[in-house]
Amino acid sequence: MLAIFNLAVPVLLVALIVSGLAATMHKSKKLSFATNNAIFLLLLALGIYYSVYGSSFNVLSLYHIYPFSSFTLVLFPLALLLVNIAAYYVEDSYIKFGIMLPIISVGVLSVGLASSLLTILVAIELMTIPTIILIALNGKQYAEPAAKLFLMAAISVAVFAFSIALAFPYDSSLSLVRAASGSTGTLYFLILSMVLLVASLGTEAALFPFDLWIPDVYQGSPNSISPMLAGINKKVAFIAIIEITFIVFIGQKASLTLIFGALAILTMFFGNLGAMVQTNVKRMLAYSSISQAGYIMVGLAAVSAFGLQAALFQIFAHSFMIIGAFIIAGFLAMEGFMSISDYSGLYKRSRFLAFSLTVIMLSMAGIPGLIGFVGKFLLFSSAISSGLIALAFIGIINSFISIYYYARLISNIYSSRDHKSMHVPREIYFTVLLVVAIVVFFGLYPAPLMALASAASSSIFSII
Amino acid sequence: MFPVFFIMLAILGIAGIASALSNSYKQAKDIAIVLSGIVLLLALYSVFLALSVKGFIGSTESMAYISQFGIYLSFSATQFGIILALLASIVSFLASIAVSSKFENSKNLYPLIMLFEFSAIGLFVSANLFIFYVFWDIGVAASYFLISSFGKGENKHAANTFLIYSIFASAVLLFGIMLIYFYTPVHSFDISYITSHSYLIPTALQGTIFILLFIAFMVKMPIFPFHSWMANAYSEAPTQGSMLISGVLSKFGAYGMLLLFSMLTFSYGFAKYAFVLGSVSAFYAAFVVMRHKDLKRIIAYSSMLESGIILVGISSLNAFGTAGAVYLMLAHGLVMALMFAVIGGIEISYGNRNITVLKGIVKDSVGSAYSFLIGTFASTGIPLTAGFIADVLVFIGAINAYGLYGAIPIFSIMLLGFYLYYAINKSFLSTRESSESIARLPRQMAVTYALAILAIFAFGIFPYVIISLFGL
Repeated sequence: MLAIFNLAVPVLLVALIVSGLAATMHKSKKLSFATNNAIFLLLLALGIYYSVYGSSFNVLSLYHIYPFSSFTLVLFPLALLLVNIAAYYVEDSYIKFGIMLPIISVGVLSVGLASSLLTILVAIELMTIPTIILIALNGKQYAEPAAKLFLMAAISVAVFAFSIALAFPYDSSLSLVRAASGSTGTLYFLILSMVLLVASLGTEAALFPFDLWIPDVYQGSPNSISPMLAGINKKVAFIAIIEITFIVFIGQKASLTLIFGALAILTMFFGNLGAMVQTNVKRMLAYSSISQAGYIMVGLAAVSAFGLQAALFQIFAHSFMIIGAFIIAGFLAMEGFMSISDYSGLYKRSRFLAFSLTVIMLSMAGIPGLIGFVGKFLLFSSAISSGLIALAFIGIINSFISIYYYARLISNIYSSRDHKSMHVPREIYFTVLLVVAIVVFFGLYPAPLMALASAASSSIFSII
Repeated sequence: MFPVFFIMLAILGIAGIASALSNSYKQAKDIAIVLSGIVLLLALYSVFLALSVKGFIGSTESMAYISQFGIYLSFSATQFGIILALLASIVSFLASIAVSSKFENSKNLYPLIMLFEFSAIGLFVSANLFIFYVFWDIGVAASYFLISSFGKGENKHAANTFLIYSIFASAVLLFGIMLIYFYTPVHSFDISYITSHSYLIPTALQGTIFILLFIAFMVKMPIFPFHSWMANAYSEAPTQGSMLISGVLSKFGAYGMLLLFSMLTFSYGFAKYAFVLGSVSAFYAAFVVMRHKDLKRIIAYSSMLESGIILVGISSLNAFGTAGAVYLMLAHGLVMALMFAVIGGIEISYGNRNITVLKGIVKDSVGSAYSFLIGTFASTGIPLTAGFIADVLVFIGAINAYGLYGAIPIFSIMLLGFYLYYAINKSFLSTRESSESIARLPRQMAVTYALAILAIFAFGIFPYVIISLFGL
């Protein structure tokens, strides 16, 4: 019985693929939507179960279930569920989404569960390629973002493979755990491998020099896909970075701090200064999500269990905040509101959307009482506790620079103008409400999520 | 004893949500008045407890919050905290009674006022720095939206300036608090623990922390080089916003300064520079005020002057000076509430607040004119008003600490007095030539004036109520 139960995750992943393939046959919107949601809910329940009981075991020598992967099993199914529900309204023909999303989600979930470098490589490709197809399927005007994403993904995977190849001779293993044993001491090939790895995954994770494609693609993508790109694909890249660097390259602690710290500073400034001058809301959100990637790097630069806990907390927090923000922005873009000045008087159009957007923006800006503040507080505290006082200070300054553009959008929403009210469809209503509930609940009572992140981060450090 | 601070905050939270959900302007206003009235009664009750029940001062109410960092939702009853919480509840009660001209009567104003009161009371009674920071930032956010959504004229610009200064202050404050946390021997945010163990923090680091927090509190008070957000913010905010921001938000900084000087041992060596800064700030404000013709700006600079005097009181580091500073915060908060309410009333009646245009207010609108006069008396420290007691205590403290130099800032108050009486002479007491029609003063404003004046005289005639809390 127990052994069969341990197979639940791979069984559900196979079920996802079956659901995707079946959708090509039956072409029923409702059926595909329902099966996808049901599987995501089951996975979420499984993730919560594994986290609560702190399960730790190997599955088919392919997947490794331990508190870290349980954390991703809580985060990603919930995020995928939100994206799926919102897409049901936003997409004009949901069925292509219903075919592709299950396959993407197998990739998304496999990254956190993977026990070898090769699995991670394949899983990331499994996630990226269907995403590109999904963008391109929406019509000619989406060829540009699809092509950009394709190019970046192709280069990124090549660099990733090269990085694995460089590290391979030192441990002769693709297993994450065994790879770690060979990677201590000052070996320049190893450091090169590490740098290449960060560069390749940094492309997807929106770290500074590799993030120039982000605003174009996030802005140009279909409204149903930008929440997924920012809230899921980017976070998967972070999960991969964490797994590989903190297991395989943990011997190179000093270089890790240096690389992550420098990337954090550059990314934060690039994102925040870029966001200040934007007029399009989706583009502004794209820049803001770059800056949030910078904050997450502050936690990683601390290279401690506390720092990793902070980073995981912020990954969770930002994933939902940005999904909520992009769902609202996407819905409004469909109604014809694109630029920040279009948003003026949104309060009169829909009090619900105005209030939700306000909460999400304030949370991203780091106003106390909301989840974003707790995340940033943990991140900067972890930097100080590792002695990186200057990094923490730069992070705090950046976090407060960002208030400028969030507050500009908010005060625009509430500027009084008379408009007739707008109908918010129930799919959008439900997803946004769930995001706001998460933001407020874990903002006021962060203890459970902190415990989850703490278990995940200490399991990474004790795996070797 | 029942947890009085938790109950106050819970009532304010309910008040905020209820007024946000209410259907009409009038309903929101009624909810705000009733619930902030109850909070005012509770604040008075806490003062009564402090006077009558031994052991109430120093008692703590706490609830576990984030156990990983040892953060508690904890509130403690200190002399300063109780008095300032009383001030915050009085001013917020007055602000929810006051009205401003029709355009601003949106019901969203009241949730913001309640949110602001929530943050103010929470901040003044908080027993740990994490909670202090949380309430600080909520207060800043509420004030920003008060200015930007309900102000008039150049309000967007004023709100942005306010925001830029405030987020700078919040940033350095947060950084300073984090440094304190990680460099106390047992990592702690608890104010009383930090006070007793701060000497263990290395001196160089204490210096850094001190400078960071000092700058943050200087911005909020405001003190001389960091004041340029103030005049715009006070003058472009709606009447209620001006009352709250000048009466209570500036006390966030003053109260923080008080905490800082009691918390870090490093600060004792810095007190004389703080004294000089406070005096310079007071004189600067006294001279700048003479260049202004807009009543709101005149009062804004007079408020900055009083902040300078408050810093003088705090920096004298003795019982008189500290008690005087707290008393001055109370008196000045009430005076500002009265003054800005009166200016709001004048704006409703005349549609203008420029002293060169206004004439003969005493003939057409007696209440506003005399209320303004009383406010001027109180802010220049005429006996029987609360300002008198405060100024006396502050300068006794300053003279004790710095000899006769300590008396120098008195002259800035005299300068302010000259100009305020000049303004009153020019616009309030002069005869009016034109006979344009004048809008009647709303009854709510008259009630606001009366209550504020009552409070100013009450604390001026019966200072013992407060002074006995300090054991003087």
